[in-house]
Amino acid sequence: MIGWLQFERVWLRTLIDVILPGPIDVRPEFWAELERASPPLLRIGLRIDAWLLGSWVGLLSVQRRELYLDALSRSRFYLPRQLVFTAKLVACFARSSQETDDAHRHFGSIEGS
Amino acid sequence: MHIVTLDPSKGHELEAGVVVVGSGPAGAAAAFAVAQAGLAPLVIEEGALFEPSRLGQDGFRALSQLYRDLGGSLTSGPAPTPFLQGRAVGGTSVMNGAISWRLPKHVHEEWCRDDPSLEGSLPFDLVETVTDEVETRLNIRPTPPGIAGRNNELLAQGAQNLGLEHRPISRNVRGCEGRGQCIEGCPAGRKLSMDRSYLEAASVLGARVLPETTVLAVEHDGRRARGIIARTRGGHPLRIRAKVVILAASAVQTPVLLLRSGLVRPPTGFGFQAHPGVSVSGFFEAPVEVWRGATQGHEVIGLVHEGIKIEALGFDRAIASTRLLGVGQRLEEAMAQLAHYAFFGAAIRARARGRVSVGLRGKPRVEYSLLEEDLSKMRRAVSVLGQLMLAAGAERVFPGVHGFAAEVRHPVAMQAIERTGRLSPRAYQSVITHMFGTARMGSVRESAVVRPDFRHHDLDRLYVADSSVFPSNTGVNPQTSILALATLCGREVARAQA
Repeated sequence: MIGWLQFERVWLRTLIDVILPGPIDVRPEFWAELERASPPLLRIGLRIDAWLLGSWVGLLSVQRRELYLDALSRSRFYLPRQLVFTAKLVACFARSSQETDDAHRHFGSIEGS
Repeated sequence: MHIVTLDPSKGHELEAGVVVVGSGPAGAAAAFAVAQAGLAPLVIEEGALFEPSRLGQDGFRALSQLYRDLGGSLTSGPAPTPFLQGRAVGGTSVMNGAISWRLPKHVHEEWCRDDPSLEGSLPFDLVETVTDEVETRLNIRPTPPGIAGRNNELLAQGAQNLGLEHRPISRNVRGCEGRGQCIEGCPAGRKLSMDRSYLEAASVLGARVLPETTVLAVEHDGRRARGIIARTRGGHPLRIRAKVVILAASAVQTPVLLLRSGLVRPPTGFGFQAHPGVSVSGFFEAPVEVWRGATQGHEVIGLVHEGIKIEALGFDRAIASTRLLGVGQRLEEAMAQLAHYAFFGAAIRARARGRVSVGLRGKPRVEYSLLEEDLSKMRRAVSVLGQLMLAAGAERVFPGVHGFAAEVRHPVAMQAIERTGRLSPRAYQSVITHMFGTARMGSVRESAVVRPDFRHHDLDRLYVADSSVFPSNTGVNPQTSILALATLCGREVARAQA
């Protein structure tokens, strides 16, 4: 499986920003680890997320993005619900990963001082 | 622990008396029993050895380092469901909740009804005796109140108010500090996972562990096992000649190894059973801080006879966040109040049987679909979980069932889910944690893969020690039963070699 292409990351990043609008600094290491550890089906799901949801959501006004994703998460169809859930999973992992990195940096600097 | 390191830049050929494939509870217990007989086994593990202090950083890192496929291995079927498996020295014991249950007598009776020969070859008294040994070795004790944490206390309170039988969970820990990070690998090393118990003890007796090595197939001549073929960390071939091979790679990986080795006779890979789990979250006025206290320290046992086992669930922030409602600002607001959420889960003794086969690129393919009766149990479980939350004082409960109210505040509404919840697997966000039955044990060759002495029906010197051999699921957490049966398997190997 090829790694994430730049525009795919941008689309997925757009999706993450809609799901968790608070600041997240998604680092290259996170993408690399996600790509390394994900099984093929999850990689495919994330790419569908990027291509179907991420690219499309970016075309909407900022106010509408959240409404549409929320509606999809409650869709009567299984696939859209799962796509939003997968994106939510990645967004929560990205946030957690960044918070952990920040905590390590903070405590590291205390230890080093 | 005696870790074997191989030069990853080239292929190798090794010799060993006994090779054990897998270092989880089954492999570790079998290896220990074999080592006690002086046979010095070599244990092969696909994952790496982790230092406790490097673990428990956050949910994502734990999943990516300790879990197979980032915890995202999926069944195929109408609702692909993740099944969680560890991939580390110590296997799933490194990242489970350390929950311990003895093999229920009624389950053993079911097995013996199906195959009366098990009554003689695997008598319940013998299983009980070995389970006593396991409990002593792993210091299995009920979770003390001092480290239970609020999430566990709330489950106890809810069960008490509803009149459901409940108790602290017995766990294999020593000196647990209640850090709430069992499923990320205990950062304090307090869990007596296999790397910190059975494998260490086996190493003292001469066992060696070869991590980061992927076993591809069992080598045999059609009559007896000759060893294994594997791939090193560096991707080079590794051949290990052995007198005996014990497969202990799990109910998913073991049948795949058998099938890839040309041992394709049914029921190899058939009869897959599991405990699909569902969870419910609830919002409480006072903080719960689900990440503090024993990860899973309390259980409701009053519904085990129905095939529903309920536990408190401790998650780290990342995993807990995915269970919150909504996206965008609504999700951010819920995350800001994450400390006020409790999580309870239920494991279902599902009747459905699936199949494990070899999929793309030699990977396991697990076909599994729940039956209507399983889904009925699932929606009853969700209903009871919600009622427990409300009985414990939750302001709001989030059942997480598609097609049902997203938020419930009254027990009557929560009860309604038992009648009106959809009987579709796609309505539930479930996860599979325990797997069984894909190389079942039995005296009749046509309906079993291994004999009652754990030896493969068609191949001498090949044994299976993991939960593949269980004729059915158990309805309770199987780690202790796996340890007991794998110990007996190891002793059979030792006896046969003697």
